[in-house]
Formats: sequence, C-alpha cells, structure tokens
Amino acid sequence: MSTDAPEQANVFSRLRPPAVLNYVALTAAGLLVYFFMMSAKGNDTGALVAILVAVPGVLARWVVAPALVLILTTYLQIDPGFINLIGHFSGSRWFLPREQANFQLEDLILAAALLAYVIGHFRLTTIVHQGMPNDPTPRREGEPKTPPRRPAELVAPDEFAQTMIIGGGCMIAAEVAWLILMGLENLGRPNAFGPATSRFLIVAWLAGLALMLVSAALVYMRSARMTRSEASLVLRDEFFHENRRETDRLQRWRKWFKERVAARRRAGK
Amino acid sequence: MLTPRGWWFLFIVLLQVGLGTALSDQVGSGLVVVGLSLLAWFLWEWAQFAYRLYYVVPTLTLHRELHDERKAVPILWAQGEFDVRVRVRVEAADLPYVVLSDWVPADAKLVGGSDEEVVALDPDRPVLLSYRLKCPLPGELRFEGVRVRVADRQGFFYHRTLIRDGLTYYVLPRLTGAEGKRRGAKKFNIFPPPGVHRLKRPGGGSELLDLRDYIPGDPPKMIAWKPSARKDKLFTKEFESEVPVRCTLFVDASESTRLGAKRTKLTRLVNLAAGVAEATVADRDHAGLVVFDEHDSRVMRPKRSRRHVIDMLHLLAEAASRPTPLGPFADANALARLAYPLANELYPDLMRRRTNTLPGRMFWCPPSDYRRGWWVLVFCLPFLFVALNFLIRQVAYSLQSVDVYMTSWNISGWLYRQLGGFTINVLGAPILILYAWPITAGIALIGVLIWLFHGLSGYFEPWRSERVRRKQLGLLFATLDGERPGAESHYLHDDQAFARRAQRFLAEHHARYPVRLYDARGRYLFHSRPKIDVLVKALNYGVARGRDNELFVILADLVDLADDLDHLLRAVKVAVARHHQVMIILPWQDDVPDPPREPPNDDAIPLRKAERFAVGGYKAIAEEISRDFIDQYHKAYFRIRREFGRLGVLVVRADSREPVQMVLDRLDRLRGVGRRR
Repeated sequence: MSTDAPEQANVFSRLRPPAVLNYVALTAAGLLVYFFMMSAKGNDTGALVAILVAVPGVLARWVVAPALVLILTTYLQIDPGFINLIGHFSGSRWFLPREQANFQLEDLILAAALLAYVIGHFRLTTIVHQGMPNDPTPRREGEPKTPPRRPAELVAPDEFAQTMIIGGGCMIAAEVAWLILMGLENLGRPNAFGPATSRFLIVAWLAGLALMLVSAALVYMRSARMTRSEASLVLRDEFFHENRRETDRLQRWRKWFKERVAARRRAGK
Repeated sequence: MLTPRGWWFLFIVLLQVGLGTALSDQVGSGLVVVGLSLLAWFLWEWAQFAYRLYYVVPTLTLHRELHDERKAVPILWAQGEFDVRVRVRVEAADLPYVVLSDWVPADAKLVGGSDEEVVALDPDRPVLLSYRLKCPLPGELRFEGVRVRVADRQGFFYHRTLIRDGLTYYVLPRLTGAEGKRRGAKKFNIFPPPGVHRLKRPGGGSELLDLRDYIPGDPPKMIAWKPSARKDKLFTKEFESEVPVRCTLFVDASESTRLGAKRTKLTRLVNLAAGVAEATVADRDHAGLVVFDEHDSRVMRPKRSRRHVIDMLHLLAEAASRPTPLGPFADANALARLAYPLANELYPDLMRRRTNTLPGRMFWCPPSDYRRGWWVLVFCLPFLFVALNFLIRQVAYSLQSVDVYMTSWNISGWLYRQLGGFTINVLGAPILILYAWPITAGIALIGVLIWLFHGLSGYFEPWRSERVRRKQLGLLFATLDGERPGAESHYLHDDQAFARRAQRFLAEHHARYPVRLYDARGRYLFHSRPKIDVLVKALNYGVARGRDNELFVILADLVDLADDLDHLLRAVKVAVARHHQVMIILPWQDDVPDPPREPPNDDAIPLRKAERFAVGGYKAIAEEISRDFIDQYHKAYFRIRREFGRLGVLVVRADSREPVQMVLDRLDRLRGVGRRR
C-alpha cells in the first residue's frame, strides 16, 4: 500500500519507453510477417481477421487475443481460406491437395512470426496491463485493487537480445525435433499405422515420457529444497490420510465421552 | 505455479501440436512446427521459473531497521513517527520481476512512502523498502516479514511466499502536553525543593512542628529558650520531617481490561500510569510500579532515576502488548474463518495444497461413522433377511438337504405368505414373483440413498469449506507446535481445542478475534476474581516495605467485582492505618454513559411494563437489557466509591476523555493534604 497518489498514465505513454518500443516493434513485425505468410498460402481473409483481433488486442490489452489468433491459425492451417467451411454451407465440396510434411522454410518463418507476436503481446501486456494475478492480502482494508504490472524500468538492456536468441533457439529446436520425429517414424516402417498416426503416437509417447521425467525432476527438486517444517508437514499429512478413518472414530468416541462427563457434571453426579 | 493465462496457452499449444501431428500428412508440417516452437519456448520459460523458484527465491534475505530522526532505534514511542527500512537481498541469481510488500503491523499507521515495490532483484543490488509509520498506541509492533510475489515476464507462472522476519518492537507510552512539563525546580523560595515533602512528624526538617517537654539528652541547640523562660520549664523544639513522596502504581492487566477494540481499558490505564509515573519522577519523587493480573504480579520498587522510568515504561508496554484473552468458549468455525486467510498469508508454503493436501476422498461422510448409521441398517435389514434366506434355500436345494430347506422356509415363509405374490409368463413358462422381493428391495433402496446422500453431504458447502479450513489449520498448528503425529485430528474434531489454538495463533500475530463474553446461562465470563487476591498480596507487600507518606495508586477495573472487595478493603484499611495514602482509578467503560452526580437512593432496578415489550418486541427487550446493565454499572461504581470513601480513599473515574492532567491534579491535591504552603 502506498500513500502516494496512484499513477494515471494511459496505454500509449506506457508504450513509449525505448525498452518497450522494442517489444512493440517485435509484435508489429511478427504480425506483418504472419500476414504475408498466411496470405501466400491463400489465407489472406483469415490473416486479416487475425490481424484485426491482434492489433486491438495489443492496444486494448485483451489477454485473450493471442489465444484467438492461435486458434484461428490452427483452423486456417487445417482449412486454408475457409474452403471447407464455405463448402459446407454452399453444398459444394472442395478437395485440397495434400501437403508434404518435410522441411519447408515457409513453415519456419510462420513459426517465427507467431512466436514473435506471442512473446511481444504477452510482454507488453505485463508492462501496460497486468503482470501477475491480482492476489490482494486480506489483512488491510483500503488496499488498492489494481493488479500489479511490470514497470518499463525493469526491462533490462539485454533482455530483448536474449529473447531473440531464445526465440530463435526454440524455433530451431522445434524444427530439428520435427525432423528427428519424421526420421524416427521412417525408421519404424513398415507398421500397421499411417504416417500421421505413427507420428502422433510417437509424439504422445514422447510427451508422456517427458512429462514423467519432468514431474519426477520437479518432485525431486521440491523435496530437496523443502524446509524442515515443510517436510514435517508432508509426513504428518501422509499419516493423517492413512489413519483418518481410525482417528476419526477414536475422536468421535472421545467427544462422546467428554459430552457424557460434562452432562454428569451438570447434573451434579 | 501456472496462472490461468499459462494454462490456456499450454492447452492451445498442445492442441496445435496434437492436431498438427495427427493431420501432418494432410496439412504439412506448418502447424506442428508452429506448435512445437511455441511449446519449446513455453517449456524454456517454465524451466527458468522453476530454477528461480527452487534455487533463487530461498536465498532471499532481509534486514530491517527502524529509524527515528537521527539513528536506528530498538524501541518506539507511542504517537511517534518512524522510518522503516527493509533491505532485501538475493544471493544466487537475478529475479526479473518481483513484487515486495512489507507486512505493516495492524496497530501501526502508514503515514508516508510505500510498503510495496515492484522490482528486479540482482545479487549486486539489494532493494530498499522505505516507509514511515506512526504508532498510535503503546504495546508491541510485530513485523511478520516481507511478502514476495514472483512471476515470469509473460505472466504464465506465479508464486507467492513470505520472507519471515517475526521481529517485535515495544512501543513505549509517551507523555504529550502539559503533564510532561512538570516543574523540575521550585518556583518560589517558600516552597520546599522538588522531591521534598513536609510530613507532620518529628524529623530533621527546617519547619517547626511542635514544642515538647525537655528530655534529658536532648541537644541544647534544640531547646526553645523563649518559651522555656516564659514558662520556667525547659521545652525542646520539634521540626517537621522532609521526605520524598513514594508513589507506587498498581496497574491491572487482567483479562477484563484487555477486552474490546484497539483502545482497551488496559491501554488507557497504561497511558495514565505512564503519565503519572513520568510526572512523579519529574517532581523528583519516587515512582514504583506493580503490574498484576489473575495469576501473578511484577513489582518495580520506587526509584526516581531516568533509567528507572524507562524500565517502567518497558514494563507498561509489555503489559499493553498482552493479547485479547482467549475465554473459555469460542466459535471454532468463526475463528477458522479468521485464521485461515492469515495462515495462508503467513505460511504459504505450509498451506499450499501440494503439501497440505485435500484429496476428494477426505470429504466423504460415511453414515457408519455417525450415530445415524443404524438408519441405513434398519432399511436394509428386511432385504438382507430375504436375500439370506434365499441363499440358504438355494444351498440346501443343491445339497439335497430337506431339513435345512424346511427350517429356512419356516423362518421366512410367514413373510412371503403375508405379502403374497403374482405370476408372470416368460416364454410360456409361469414364474412366481413374490412381493417380498420388490418391497424389501425398495425399502433397502431408501437406505442406500440415505447412505449415498449422507456420504456426499461432505462435498457440499458449507461443510466442505469448514473441513478444508479445519484440516489445513489443524495440520499447520500441529506442525508449528511440533506435536505428536495424529494431533491434527484432535483439532479437526475437538472444537474447544481448535478454538483455543486458533485464538492463540491469532493473538500471536496480533490479529483480532471475537471473544464470547457470556456463557449459556448469561453469566459474565471475565470477572477476573483471582486478581483481587493478587492485588491484595502486592499491596500488602508494598505496605510492609513502605516508609512514611507513601502513595498507592490502584489503577484497576473493579466495577464488575463490587461484591468481592472485602479482602481489598481490609488491605487498604491496613495501608491507611500505616499513614499511607491510597487512591483508586477505575477505567470507565466506553459504552456506558457518565453516572449521575448523586447516587440513586434505592437499590432496586425498576422494570418497565410488560406491554412495552409486547409492542416494542426484541428492540425493546434489548434496550431494557442495556438499561439494566448501565444501571447496575452505575450502582456498582457508587458502591465502590462509598465503601472506599469510608476509609478516606478517593475513587476517580477515568474515561477515555479524562486527561492525565486531571488525574495528576487530583494526585497533587491528595499529596498536599499534609502540606503547608
């Protein structure tokens, strides 16, 4: 809580610092490239709709805008130019040519554009709108209810460069992972499944394995960093759940006995 | 750890990867590469946050200092303003986005600066939180620690914890206004110097007290020659004593004075005692202090040094910091509702559902665990009887045992005959359906439904929330106290044990909680009768060790104990008989109006007409109870005044508007009884 008057800055003034302008530029560039890449695949209408959602999303601080853009992109990848949708309503059926699932530069550029947009949007949202959940403390009345946001001054000078490197690394890792996956799938041939199903199964299996390993690592990290009281509480919790029914019964008998003693005492016996 | 924003982003990305892979032979690799890129970035951020959470956040440390205008101070003064400076440092690595908010004590008021900062922490640059506090009342300030909220740069991950501090500072009562500016030097030459009071007893003073017959051995310089010449008989001069006044303050810190909101009776008494003590010492008199409650007393013998005053103020601050009494009866669920958010704030690591778990099976309420369990059995018994007989007959039929078959039929046949049956044709073959089966099954179904609904009742509000709070708090209390395993179930089932522990928890952290003042029969629970014995013991001790001309000021809440003052009256009588002065200051209850100038003549409390209650309803009854309480309070006050007045003891009423100066004037008047100006 502060005794100072709350800051009354509008969105545009918050977007003005140089460190923030980097993210504005990143978002704008990402959206521009996204539009061109989608248009090149015949998705110009869909891309335009996505842009119309994304740009006001940045300015009006819509947290849901990236989700809508990502869902729209997913749909447009499956149904380019809404051809199937239009065909469904018009009654005419269109057949789309099958795409090759090998390395294509356009895919990489599209992924880079979307990644840039998503990173830019979320970082701008934390700076101009809300950086973390509003978690007010109940101990004080009159505490400001505005959610905390990340001040632009906290953006480190090397943050943008690091973000670009990490983003690029993620893109390359994704492409390499996909190529390895296709290689794995080819190695396993012939099998009873089609290529897409095999890939899906491998991805699901790998995701399950990764989830297991990561959760084991997290559990280990958490256990290793536990304080003494946390560890004691975990053991007590385990004890409680194992003996709950028995202790519940014991406590009920104890309560009954106490009530009986109190009743006798009241009766003067 | 994941925020809603993080969850839905992860969901969409996984959907993209799943769909992209499953449809990769139709739509190409575009969708899956997009999904995998976003997923890789998300996982990278997750890993970074997990590292910060488990390895960087635990290295956060804080150092707190309280400063007045000049330097860091270990104690505070009531009505004073102080700067709080909290330096937060991280040891391991940087944290790019942290919200630090200091836990400002509830008894203090923030008057400048901000107790919250949004910062990026770096091992080389500690962060300083600085704000200004005002402490309105004496007592204790407890700084619980700094609340730390960590998030990533996108708002996907969030974690809240507390760097625990637990530092306490005493807030000493402070004099303000005229009463602090007592005379430190005599104003007129005819007055004795400060700290010296004339006592009408023979002593070594300079003022003549009396003449007496000469006793052989009297020094010749003491002989009054002129009267001796006139009377032709030797007389000796006697001079007054010049002694300091020793004022001992008896401050009541019992449970009855600690009830109420911020300005309790105890706070008022402490302020009053501090004012009187400081003014007494400023007059170069000796001041002593006794703080007593129901159990024991703490005594400080009268002295007049500055250090002694500070020690007295410490003792008073310690008394003022005593928490609201727990009381024998309390509403466990109401206390749980108060303690639960506080525990979540103070011990987020121990209240998190990952450690303090709440599995769904915990809420199942089987009727067999309760006395109502026999209902289910009663409903199911007929069906069980029929089914068991059927089974026995089937076994007997397969074993070709006629005796067993007939015995079973003889037992259950009556029921079948009474209820009858009907025949249906299945594929041309008649099958006899006895009514006993569907009827008993229907009754058993009711029992099963009772069992089901009873079991499910634990999942619905308010039982679910109550159980969540009791379980988590019980486990927390057991862990904090280091109790034996299984103690948490004690807190879950024993309302009084839980209520007492929850009250203690709230009191330790300076949170307010409701106290039940009356028991089920309407009897007041905070009379604090044992304090009279403790007070009497302390007063007798003071009288036994006192010299001449002592002044005993009793600051105690005695109005509720007007019927139990015999011991105290006897002790006061002894003190007065030993030539000491006694004064009683009663803290007046805030919601009771001032008493009339003259005490009422009759002791009876008039009752209003019954019609008034019939018309006015509950409001009229409440008014009547309130009036009755006020009348009784006034009568008790007048009775105390009368009883002590017979002994020559002044009883002063100290309400919240009574300035310390007025009490000091009365004290001066009281001391001036034997003084000649």
